[in-house]
Amino acid sequence: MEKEKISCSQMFFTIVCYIQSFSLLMAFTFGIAGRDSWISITLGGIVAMLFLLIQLSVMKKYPGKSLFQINEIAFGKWVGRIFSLLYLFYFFCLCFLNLRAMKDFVNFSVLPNTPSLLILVLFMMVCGWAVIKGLRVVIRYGAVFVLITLIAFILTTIFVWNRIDYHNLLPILSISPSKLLKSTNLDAVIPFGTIIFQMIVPQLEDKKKMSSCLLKGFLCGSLFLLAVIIRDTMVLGDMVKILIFPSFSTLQLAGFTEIFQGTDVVYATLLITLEFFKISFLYYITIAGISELLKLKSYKLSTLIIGVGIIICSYIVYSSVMEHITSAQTIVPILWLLFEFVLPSLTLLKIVISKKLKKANQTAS
Amino acid sequence: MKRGKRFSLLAVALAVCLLFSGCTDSKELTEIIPVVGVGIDDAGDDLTKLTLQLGYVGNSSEKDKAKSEALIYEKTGKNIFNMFRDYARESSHKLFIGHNQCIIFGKEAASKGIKDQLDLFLRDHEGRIDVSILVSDSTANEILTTKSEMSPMSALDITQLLKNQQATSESIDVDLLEFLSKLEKKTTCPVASLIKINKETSTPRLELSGLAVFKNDKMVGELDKDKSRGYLWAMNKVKSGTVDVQSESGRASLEICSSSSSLNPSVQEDGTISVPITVKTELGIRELAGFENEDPSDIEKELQEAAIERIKGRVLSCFQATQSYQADIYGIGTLISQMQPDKWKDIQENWDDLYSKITPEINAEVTIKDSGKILRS
Repeated sequence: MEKEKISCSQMFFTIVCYIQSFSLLMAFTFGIAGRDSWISITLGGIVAMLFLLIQLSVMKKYPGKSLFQINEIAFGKWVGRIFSLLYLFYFFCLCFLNLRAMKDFVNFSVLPNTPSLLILVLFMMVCGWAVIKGLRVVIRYGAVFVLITLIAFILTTIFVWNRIDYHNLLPILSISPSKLLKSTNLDAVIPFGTIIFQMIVPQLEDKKKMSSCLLKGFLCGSLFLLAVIIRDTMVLGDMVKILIFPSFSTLQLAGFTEIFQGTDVVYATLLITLEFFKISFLYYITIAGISELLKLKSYKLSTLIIGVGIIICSYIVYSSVMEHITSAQTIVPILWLLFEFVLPSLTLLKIVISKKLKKANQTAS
Repeated sequence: MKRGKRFSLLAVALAVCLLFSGCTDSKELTEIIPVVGVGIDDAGDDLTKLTLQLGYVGNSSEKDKAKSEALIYEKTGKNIFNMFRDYARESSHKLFIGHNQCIIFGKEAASKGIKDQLDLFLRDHEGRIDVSILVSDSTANEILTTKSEMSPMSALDITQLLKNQQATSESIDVDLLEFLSKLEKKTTCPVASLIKINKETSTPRLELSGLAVFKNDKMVGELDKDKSRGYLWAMNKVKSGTVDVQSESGRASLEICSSSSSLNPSVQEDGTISVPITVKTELGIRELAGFENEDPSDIEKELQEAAIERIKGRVLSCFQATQSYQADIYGIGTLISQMQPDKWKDIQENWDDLYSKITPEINAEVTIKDSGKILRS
């Protein structure tokens, strides 16, 4: 696959946009932590920041090398490839799970009578088109999407201002520690999963700015997420716990005068736009990973095959919305820890130990 | 070659836009009929009587027809959603509840509990969470079938009435979100506007007459408009309105120019609950009778004192009324649980008892801002 160079600011907006896109689908967290979700998001952000620092220190050891190359260098050809395959599986899962979330919303509130397969196929066709054009096309509109989302957030917050009540955040920390732990784990991996960005880091033009633009992007994205969570909690109160699309309900309340009422259409537009960005980015990463692992020259065929795979998986993975939410609250966050935390720290450990061994050998000889 | 490719791409794009643009989900205006008001009554035997007021959608030449009639659909059954769907057997139009303005409960249905009936409106994808909740003095059916002189569609009339409440501050627009989030808080009791039909006028007229008080999701009592104002004073929701005062030397009607209030309950060291309610308001003199040969500053003082008494009296009478229902409509329990979560745990169990024993400390600060265009009495 052709390695296109991307600039630091493109990288920054990609991360911000990726994290922003989760702000519209936060029922997973709200379902567990209720009005204390902002605490679990903050804690989750801090934990995810630690994960990111681990990942960054791995990347810094081998500047310019991709995630899969690092795996092979650290663990040898075969074990490294198994690791890479695991990562690939993770990217693939992220892709179809996010597609499923998009489908759940569109099929529930925008196009209830349209066959869901049709929505999935059409959506993936557009994503696939972008993916074939390459990374630059996939992330080109990141900055625009970030700005649109930000403007929409500010305007809708002004429109619901009269319903904002800070008392809804009180009392702080009323949930049990086990629930807090659960939701922190969830937030650390689902909105803040950062390992995927390691796939595009080698394509960064200016390698020196790598850490700063990754960290800045992460920080901006998570602050935005936090702001949305706090707004939704202050507007909806304890209802956030039972609503499946809290932001959707918040925007339903937004508006001024009789004519301009209910900005929920903004939500639908934003969700589809941001999901397009996120899914095409994940789709690209999966394709790039496969091309690298199998050393493919052309990726057009794999785009088609993987695209069909994603559609089928997201179509059959869950039988209902409730099942999706339950699995996202229970099994998925623990499983994802393996990719976000365990594998990167294993890599780091292996690198550090083997370097020390080398040094010891050299001094001994 | 390149041109051919572009052309085919364009053709595909056009085909997608034209063929797949939500045709399966299209809703033509001529095929739907919007629900503007929903009435829910108790029909005994666990059954519910549903009354729907439907807006007639027609083209402009049929405008006069649209103005003169509101369609009413009545049905009795167990589940509301089922009754909604049953309409399809009787009509060529499909019901659309996205424009629903209000949900009205009959008094009997309200006193039996309304949470189960509200579930549909929160769950349904077309339903909105800012729809108003009202309780009828008699039955909801009666309210929705009334044709007032202003508009044949009483639901639209009611929405306007609720909006106009800002001018009198004696009733309040409670929407689905507010109602349900109060229910979610366990100790806080929701309220809803009470609506009744005034039959004394030549054509029956709808009027808002205070608030209905709920305990959990069951209606337990009513607040008349004086007490409702007391509630609004305490909750800092008074926007405008009048304060009528009567003193020895005359009477006056004062307009509320601005108002703010605070409610800061707390649990003291010795376990007693103190509930200070402070109302600050600016009034303007709009009508004055009597007060012959009195100094303007004396009149001001006299009016001020009388207004303070009046406000305090209304707040207190409302508080006492809710105490008799053991219904904490102010959310005092919730406020304590938010500010003093530790102490709340001890008193949570017998909150209803404690609430009915609270003595509120009501303070009112009144400034008379102006005397209108004239100075003298």
